[in-house]
Amino acid sequence: MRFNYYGFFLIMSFVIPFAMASGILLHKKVAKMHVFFCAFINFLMAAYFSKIFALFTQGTSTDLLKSGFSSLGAAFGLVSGIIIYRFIYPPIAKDITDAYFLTAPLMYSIAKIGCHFAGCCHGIPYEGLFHISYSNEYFRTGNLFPVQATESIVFFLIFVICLIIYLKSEQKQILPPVLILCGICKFLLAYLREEQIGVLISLNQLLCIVAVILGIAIAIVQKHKLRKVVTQSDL
Amino acid sequence: MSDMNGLQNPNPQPNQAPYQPAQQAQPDQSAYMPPVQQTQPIQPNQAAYMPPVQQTQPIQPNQSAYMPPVQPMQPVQQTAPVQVAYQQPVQQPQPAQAAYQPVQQYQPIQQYQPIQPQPAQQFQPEQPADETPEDKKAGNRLSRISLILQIAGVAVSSIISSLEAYAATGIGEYSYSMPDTLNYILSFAISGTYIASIILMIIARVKYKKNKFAKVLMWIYIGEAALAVVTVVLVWLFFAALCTACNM
Repeated sequence: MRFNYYGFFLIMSFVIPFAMASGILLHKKVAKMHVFFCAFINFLMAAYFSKIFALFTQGTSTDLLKSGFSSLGAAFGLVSGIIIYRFIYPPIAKDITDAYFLTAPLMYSIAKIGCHFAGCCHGIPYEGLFHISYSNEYFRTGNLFPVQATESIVFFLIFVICLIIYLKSEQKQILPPVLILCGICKFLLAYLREEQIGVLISLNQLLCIVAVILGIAIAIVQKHKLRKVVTQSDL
Repeated sequence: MSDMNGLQNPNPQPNQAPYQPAQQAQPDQSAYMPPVQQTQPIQPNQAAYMPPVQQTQPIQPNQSAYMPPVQPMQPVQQTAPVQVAYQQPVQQPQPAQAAYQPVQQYQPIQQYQPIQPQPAQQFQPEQPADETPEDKKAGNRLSRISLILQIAGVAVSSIISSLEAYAATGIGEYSYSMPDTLNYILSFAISGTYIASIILMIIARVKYKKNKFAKVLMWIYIGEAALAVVTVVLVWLFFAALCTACNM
């Protein structure tokens, strides 16, 4: 009986970031009930949209339970869950947004370790240093670029950078750096995937551009608000 | 007396100027004003109707016919300043000094200190001690909708699974395979009703904390989820053990 690395890291990609986000919320003295309900809604929405996106984009199966997972769908579901809980209980909206957006790169990083072991979403043919190859009952490949491991490392570094920004920043505005860094890195790393060969810009990359634009817009709006507060305090 | 209007006075005297009320004089200029040439204090309301001072003018013969003999006129001490008229403006508040006060308000701007986020518990509204009938009604309505959605999702899913299993066995007269588009929509809808039921339950629990129906519903869903996880793990372990036994 072989150990299912993909399933293990997939579960861990939800457990570890959600536990960290819940810890941040509890540290901010958010009521336990809201922490639990928010984690529950976010988990449901992330899992649901991850499957739905995979069902509609990958086309591997027509059954929701048998289809794979889509990281972009999980991100969309996570954002939807955060928005829903913002409407349910607005006073903790910023805390929830900061906590879950901060841990989102870590979620992607852990999930990509599972992809690295499973061999899904693998990289372009590559003969250089650290090349990998898969040989199992499902498929056999030549030497490939380890794009999953690269994505995992890059997004872990993004998580560390955003954590430092979050801890150092007095305003605790974590949304713009997460959106901009994740959008740019995922856009560029997509060109190292095998499925990107012959494709100039994929749907995922278009959504990455949207995320970067959204992050810049949020940063501008926040800066404008901050300037307004400073001007009012001067008056 | 109409011909004695001040406008028709052929010899306007300089003491006509103080017809203006003394209070209207500029405070800053009062200290430098020349002495007011008037013999008696003038009331502001009467100033426009007061005749000019006639004592200094020679009396006409026609007018003096019915008048008693004119007494020798005393010279009006026009140059004597009216002390009272000068003292009043001086006692008025001095706006010039007040205008200098705001200068002290221009303090250097303190270093900007960003607003620290407040703990979330400070924003939590106080919950009423007892549940009002309106809250109970609204909470029950939300919980009822949540339960209906949950049951509907499970029921539709079970019916579809049964039909598919029936069609797959080939026992029925007709072979039927569901179109992919319909399968997508049903998958989306069934799982959507489940998620909607969970969200409605959470809304009921957050907004109506005292509602017993929502509380019971929450524990039912938690038990259901726990049961599902345990079932999946047990089935997975069972099949894994079965495969291991077959490989051996």
